Amino acid sequence: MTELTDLQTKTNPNWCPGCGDYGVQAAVKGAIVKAGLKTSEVVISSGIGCGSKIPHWVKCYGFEGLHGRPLPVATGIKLANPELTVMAIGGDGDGYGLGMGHLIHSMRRNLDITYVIQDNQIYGLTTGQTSPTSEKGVRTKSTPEGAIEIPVNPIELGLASGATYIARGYAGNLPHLTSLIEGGLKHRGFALIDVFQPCVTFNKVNTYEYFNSRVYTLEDDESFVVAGPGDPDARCEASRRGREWGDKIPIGLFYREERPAYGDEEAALKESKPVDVPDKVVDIEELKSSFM
Amino acid sequence: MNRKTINILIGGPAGAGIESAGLLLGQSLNREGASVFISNEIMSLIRGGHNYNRVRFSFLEPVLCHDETVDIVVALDKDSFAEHLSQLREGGVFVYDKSLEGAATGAGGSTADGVDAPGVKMMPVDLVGTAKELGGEIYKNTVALGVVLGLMGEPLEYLEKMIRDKFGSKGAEVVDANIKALRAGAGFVSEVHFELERGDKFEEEMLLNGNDAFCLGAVAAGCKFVAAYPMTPASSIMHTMAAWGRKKGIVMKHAEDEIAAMNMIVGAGFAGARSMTCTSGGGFALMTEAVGLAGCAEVPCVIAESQRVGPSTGLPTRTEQGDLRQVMHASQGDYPRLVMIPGDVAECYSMGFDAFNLADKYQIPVIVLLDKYLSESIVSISGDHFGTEGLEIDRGKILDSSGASAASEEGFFKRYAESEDGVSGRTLPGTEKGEHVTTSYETDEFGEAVEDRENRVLEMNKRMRKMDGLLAELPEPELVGASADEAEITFVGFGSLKPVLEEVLTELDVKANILLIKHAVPFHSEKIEVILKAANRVILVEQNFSGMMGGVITENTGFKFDEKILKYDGRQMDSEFIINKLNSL
Repeated sequence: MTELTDLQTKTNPNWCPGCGDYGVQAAVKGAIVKAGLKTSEVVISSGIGCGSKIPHWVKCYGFEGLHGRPLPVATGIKLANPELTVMAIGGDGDGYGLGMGHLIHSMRRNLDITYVIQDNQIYGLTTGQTSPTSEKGVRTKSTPEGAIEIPVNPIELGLASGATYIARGYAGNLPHLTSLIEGGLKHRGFALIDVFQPCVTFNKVNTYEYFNSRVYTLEDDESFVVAGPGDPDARCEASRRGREWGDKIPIGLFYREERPAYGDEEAALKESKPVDVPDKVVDIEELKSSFM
Repeated sequence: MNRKTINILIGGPAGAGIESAGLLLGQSLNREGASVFISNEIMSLIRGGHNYNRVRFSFLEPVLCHDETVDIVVALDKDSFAEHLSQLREGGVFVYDKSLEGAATGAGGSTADGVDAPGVKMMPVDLVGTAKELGGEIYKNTVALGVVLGLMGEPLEYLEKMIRDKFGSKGAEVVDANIKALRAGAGFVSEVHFELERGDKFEEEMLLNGNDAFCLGAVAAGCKFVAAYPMTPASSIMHTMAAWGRKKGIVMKHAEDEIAAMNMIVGAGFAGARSMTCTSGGGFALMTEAVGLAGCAEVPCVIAESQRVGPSTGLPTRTEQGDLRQVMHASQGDYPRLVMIPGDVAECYSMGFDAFNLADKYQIPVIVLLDKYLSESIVSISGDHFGTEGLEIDRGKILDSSGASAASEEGFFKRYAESEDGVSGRTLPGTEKGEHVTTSYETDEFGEAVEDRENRVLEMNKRMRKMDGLLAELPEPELVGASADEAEITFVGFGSLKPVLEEVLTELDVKANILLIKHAVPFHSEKIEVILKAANRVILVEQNFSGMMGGVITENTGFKFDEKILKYDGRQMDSEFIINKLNSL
């Protein structure tokens, strides 16, 4: 049984005091323990950004790659060895900015990957520029006159792109976030988990106070029922809740659907997996005969 | 008239089955015992335009490469007149569809056909009309093949058997119509035009191109993960690997773009698969950042980069050797890598195989540099070149759980432990006690991102040390042809110019040899310097504007090239081009 102490790493996080990433780290650890996973069989693929340093502080296998590319790396890992539990973790700039193309394709593929996006609506590591989820009008270093674009809506994006587990968590509600991530890990298919993760240094708008007074959990709302594609009304409701913003902002599981994961339908994975590299040279006589 | 080698060109619009006709002809000649080389020149479109396919073969001498001068042209469009009439050797035959009778106007001259082509037999044939009588215009290519075989006095039986083999699944009607078309075509020829000289049958039972051969090498090496995005002339690698996927357990992921493809193979390589991608120059440019990631994170992976004409989209279906510098210097910073350059189909196989061993052994990205000419030209070759005997899988330093424990400190695994050869033991995800982070940052031995100066120097030195071992194990360059003392000329080239230069050696009056550069990074500077400084006369031959390999040699050895033969019009130079240039140098 994996315990929290097993996930302790050689070093400790160097995030700013109060950073929402501490909450994400704790939730990821808690979810791994609750899901009963072995540390050697979990891989976290991340990008570049404050939050993307997380593989250094959750002891399992980690790959901290390039900005915007945690999903393609995670895809390679998962398709090479489907027995691993693969998570991708990165920021909003990483996932909704540079990596947006990969995100949409990964969702329609329904890869069995849990993707946690630390969404602080700002670029932190690069010291405060507008992000794809920054609200219109927000003044940042790159938008001194206020952002002109409207933000990406992750929930609607997930619905439109074919993700089969779409959730939003909040770094200030650890038990709730932990259970969302645990649910994502157990879900066979692509789980998109957007997480409000306040940046205490560069985002003076979307703070803990901001979210504490606004968020409510869908799980506590009896009028909301999570439903899959067989229930178009529920799907519309998920979309409507996804757009809810202002005085009340919902967090929780918006949508879930059972659909075969990409690897389940890949013919080449039926009998072996790519990491099973043979000890001896592979016989190619039959292939050669196709050129005769 | 007698011929040792015959070169046949079939020209027509895209979508008219030119390539299939050429392949069918080449295959049947090969089955009859000929040495064959098939090259294709196509435009970047699906229908229309002007494409052509050349089948060069001999029953007497091995055919290594193409020849711009042809013996028979089959013209299925007007453009063939302007493009190919002048390419005919004296005594050649220009076969064209009757309906194109007036098309020659504008090609110049005043013969009965409106064409001035002395020494050439103009041969109008009712290809289309005959085909239509047999059931449809689609058979006109087969009628033309009948004409071609007739002109050479070749038996029809080999091609008829090919037709039965290939079209059998389409039904008896299709087979019958094709065979009738072939016979009708041969019937148009009243007397044999070319007498072919014959020797023993060639034992060259396989017909394949460089991409095919590379795939065979990759499969033999246990590559089971491919991620790629289509790009001419590399696409057939992904097609072939995908086609073999179910049978050989190869996952081929058509990625959303080249950036994704490259990052996917890095992920798969990290997980422990033998992984690869394939692309051309433009796609490789997109992959660049992740190639450096593989170098920094020390993840084995293989990239096949098949060059076409740049810059930018350039001439997307033509050939060039212009990506050498790009692959040598791709990505920021210094990191260890290997750039291998096969020169022919056999080397595509052997390097395709070796690439995976070397990637694993040194934990580096390995780039195999191909080009359109090598990737797509089809040669006949003995299956002996694709043997697996004596080959071994070398996965390098992969540690199990106890190995990981031994390489750990206080329970933390040292993924980047100091080592004499610069290569540290790695654990694959799933291995207990081997948990670690692989990262794009500079790290300490544990994989923790640290920024102190001593560590940076230590880690850089560790990684770059791999290049010493790698260079020592790469075969040294060797001269092909006359001995160093005897050779009046030493040609220097790389990649697909190999067979062309080999043909030059057989045609020159003076003794000469070739220095082929097969590895661009790391570079055998000392050996190459010795060879070049001892040579009588050195001529650089490259299929690009600036003589890129020449520049690489100069910066590594100090040797400067006074004489260069360069071509950058998108079409591979042939031996005649080199000899003509040589005479005017």
